[in-house]
Amino acid sequence: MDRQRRNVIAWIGKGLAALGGAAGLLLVGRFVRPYPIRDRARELDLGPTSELPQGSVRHLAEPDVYVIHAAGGIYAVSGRCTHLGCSVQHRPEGFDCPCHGARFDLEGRPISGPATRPLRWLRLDRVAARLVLLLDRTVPTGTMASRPEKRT
Amino acid sequence: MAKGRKRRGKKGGGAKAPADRASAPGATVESPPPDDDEATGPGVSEAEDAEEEETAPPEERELTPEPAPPDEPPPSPRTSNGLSGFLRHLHPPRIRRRSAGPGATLGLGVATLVAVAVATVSGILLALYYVPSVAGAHASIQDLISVVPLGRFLRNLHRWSAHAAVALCVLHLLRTLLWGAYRASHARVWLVGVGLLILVLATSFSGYLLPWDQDAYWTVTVGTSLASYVPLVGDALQRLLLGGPEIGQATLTRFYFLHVLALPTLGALLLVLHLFRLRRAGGLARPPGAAGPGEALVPASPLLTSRELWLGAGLVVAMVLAALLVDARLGPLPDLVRPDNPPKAPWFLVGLQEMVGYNAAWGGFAFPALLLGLLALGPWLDGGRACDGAPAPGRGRRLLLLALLVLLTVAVVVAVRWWGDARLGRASWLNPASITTILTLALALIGGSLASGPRAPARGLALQAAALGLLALLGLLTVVGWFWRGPDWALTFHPGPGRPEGSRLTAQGSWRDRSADVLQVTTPRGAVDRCPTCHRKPHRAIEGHPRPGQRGCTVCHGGQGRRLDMQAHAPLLGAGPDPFLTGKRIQARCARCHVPTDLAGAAELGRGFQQYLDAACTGCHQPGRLDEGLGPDLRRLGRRTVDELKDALLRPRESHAGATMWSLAWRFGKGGRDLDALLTALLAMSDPPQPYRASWARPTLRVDVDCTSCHQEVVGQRTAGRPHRCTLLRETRALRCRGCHSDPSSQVKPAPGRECPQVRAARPLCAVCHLRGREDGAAP
Repeated sequence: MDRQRRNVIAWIGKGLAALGGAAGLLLVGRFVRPYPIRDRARELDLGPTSELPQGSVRHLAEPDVYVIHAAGGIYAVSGRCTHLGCSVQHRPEGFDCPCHGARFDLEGRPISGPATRPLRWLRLDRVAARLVLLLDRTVPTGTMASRPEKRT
Repeated sequence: MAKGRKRRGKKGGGAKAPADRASAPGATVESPPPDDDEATGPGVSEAEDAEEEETAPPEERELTPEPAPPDEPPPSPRTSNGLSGFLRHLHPPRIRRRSAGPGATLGLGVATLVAVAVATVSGILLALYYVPSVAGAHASIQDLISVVPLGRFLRNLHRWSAHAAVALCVLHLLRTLLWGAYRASHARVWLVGVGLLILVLATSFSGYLLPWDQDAYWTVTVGTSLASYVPLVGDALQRLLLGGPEIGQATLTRFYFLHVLALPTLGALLLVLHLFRLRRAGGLARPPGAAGPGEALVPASPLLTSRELWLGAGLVVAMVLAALLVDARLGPLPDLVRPDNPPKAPWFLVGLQEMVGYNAAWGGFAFPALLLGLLALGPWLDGGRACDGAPAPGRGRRLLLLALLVLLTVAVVVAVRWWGDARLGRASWLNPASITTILTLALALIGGSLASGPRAPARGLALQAAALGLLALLGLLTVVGWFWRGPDWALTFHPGPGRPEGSRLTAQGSWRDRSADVLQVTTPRGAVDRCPTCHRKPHRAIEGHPRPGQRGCTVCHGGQGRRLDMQAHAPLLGAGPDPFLTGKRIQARCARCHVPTDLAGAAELGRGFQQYLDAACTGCHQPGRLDEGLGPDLRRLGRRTVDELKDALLRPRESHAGATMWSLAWRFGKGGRDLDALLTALLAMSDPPQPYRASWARPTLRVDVDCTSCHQEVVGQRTAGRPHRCTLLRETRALRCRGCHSDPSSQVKPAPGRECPQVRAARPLCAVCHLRGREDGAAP
């Protein structure tokens, strides 16, 4: 009887210890998980649209984004390879990634190599004849710059 | 695993010494298992405490009379204390004579331990100087290399011993695998050893980021991106490693923490466990066989420990020599939009890099998981009951392994060369890497059952063949990746690594201790310039410019002003962030602030741009053009030496795979002044002032640099009427010249008295502080 009771108490103790440990782990996990602080204004004024005539490409080094004025319109495509994050290099026929040989066409769709997803497109707004790039907004491939209906 | 395992072979009594110190806490843990050491022995269970001398071994029944080992010490009265006591506990007091032979373990465990110990000691010392910040890391290592006494030696030693530890660890694993010393009683030793292998690799990798150079940045970018391919938890894992959405200061902090604190601590614990388990399992595996002379029990102390001592000492000497002779590489500061081409991972990851080039999930997760799982579960998959500790007998096995290696080599060559790159379509699960892996496993299974015999069971053989085969596959792909991956991931023979590991130490004076008399100035852009340490002669000033001596030499000459070793003087970099320029090439730097064409005093540069136009470069190289640009953008030349640039002009098709440009030899011959001028102009173009990279191609070149970088006297002091103070804010600020002066670049001319030209408006003061968002970047 006494022994049984001791057993029970021991089990309870172990259970509590396990619970405490699990809770501790959760808390540690919460602590370790990064909390990025986002700038409020993550948009970039690229200047008048007229400065980007059709057929031109502009590379913004800081966010590593290519702004391209093709026949279909103006769009912004990220320079980060979707395979493993290297910076792709612009070529006349598209983008090449030097790290593992992935190739993309000018609209960022993978042509060959290990990448399977297209390069990210970023939202580009025309605001009063100027181009504004929104760095945190990904848009589907093929979404050209347009006048925003409602700026968010 | 490597470490522990070798230990089994022969514990490095002496060699280990540094390691022991490093894992001192382990000592206490380790000593407790005094008994049992011989438990697995043929009934030899002497309870004597290892720490005491092994006098009077109760049962030395097998001790043959033959060579009464002369080295057997007479019972020494010494009691164990401290280190020596710890050392003795690592081995059972008495071991088989054969276990002490060089062939029993090849001494790889001890060797790994020594390498890790050296890396630990040198790493602890390096931590005194290293600065774990994005802004300071690279500079602190440059200081280490060139200013800190013995800093370069210690850094070299740290890197080479770390490389040695990785290599020895893998060899130790292979030895244990092939000798069958992972089975039965040693299963847990092996398991802990696999954990140690992972830790050694992880520590190496985390250390790779710390210099924050080009190699580090891109390797870690790729490495952490790989984490995102782990099923289910991938993205969370990646963010955990990065400490944020992308690589940055948080990443560096985390890797620093991992490299110097978390992983070594964990490694020390596991190492102690590894050694402890080894001792509990009976020490070094004993070779099987009939009792012969080799089976005699002999005291471990002088025989085994002295051999280990010599091995360890030899290894230390070798690493010191390597550190003296070969410099560890320190790449340039990372270029955040341009990885090296071809990129090379650290050597122990090149095999995986190659696999990742086919399919990221395969090389980043599936294959490592498969290999490590196979290794970790090896003893249980094997199911062998006896831990023999010597290569299993039988020609069949040797033949099997040999045949496997040959077949595998052929398969890899075929898969990569004739199928892999021709295919290189989309990532697929059926690729050269996965096909050869499956082939390896199949061959191992079939071969194992074919070659099995009474003393070599099929399961064991198959396991050994599979593990060996997968490691060999990784090795083969490493060779492919290292030698055959050229620029743009093309499969061409590319002899030698893309990045030389370092320069041989030939430059004279490079080991001189200059720390006592370093003279340094701070350049206008805030960089450290130590050129005046040696170059003390007064320098001719350029009219209208700040005196060169006061601002350092790198302002005009470029180069790495922090460094004092001769390597920093080599005009290695023709383009890139910090080329070192001499002679007329210096004029390329004028373009950092001035409009380069037609600049008085920079005739060479003007001539170069004239050549640029006359040679019709713009016909094909149209920066920023999408449709008509036939050639690469000349503003993004990458890091090329001047000679490479010259080669690219005169022999473009030979120097660049796939180039369609024709040689400019018709114009320049083999060289000459015009070509030199053009090269200077190209350097100037590829090093434009940062804010204006985008608009460089426009006809009206406008350069917007911070005037105060040179004209510091202007700030807050220099007046064009009134003091530059904001009357509203009532405070003194570092004012921006652009607030008052329109377009200074086209106007700044060498002028006496440093008059600042062209005040823009009558009331400039508001605009000084209240600049609109991107005005200095884009507005005319």
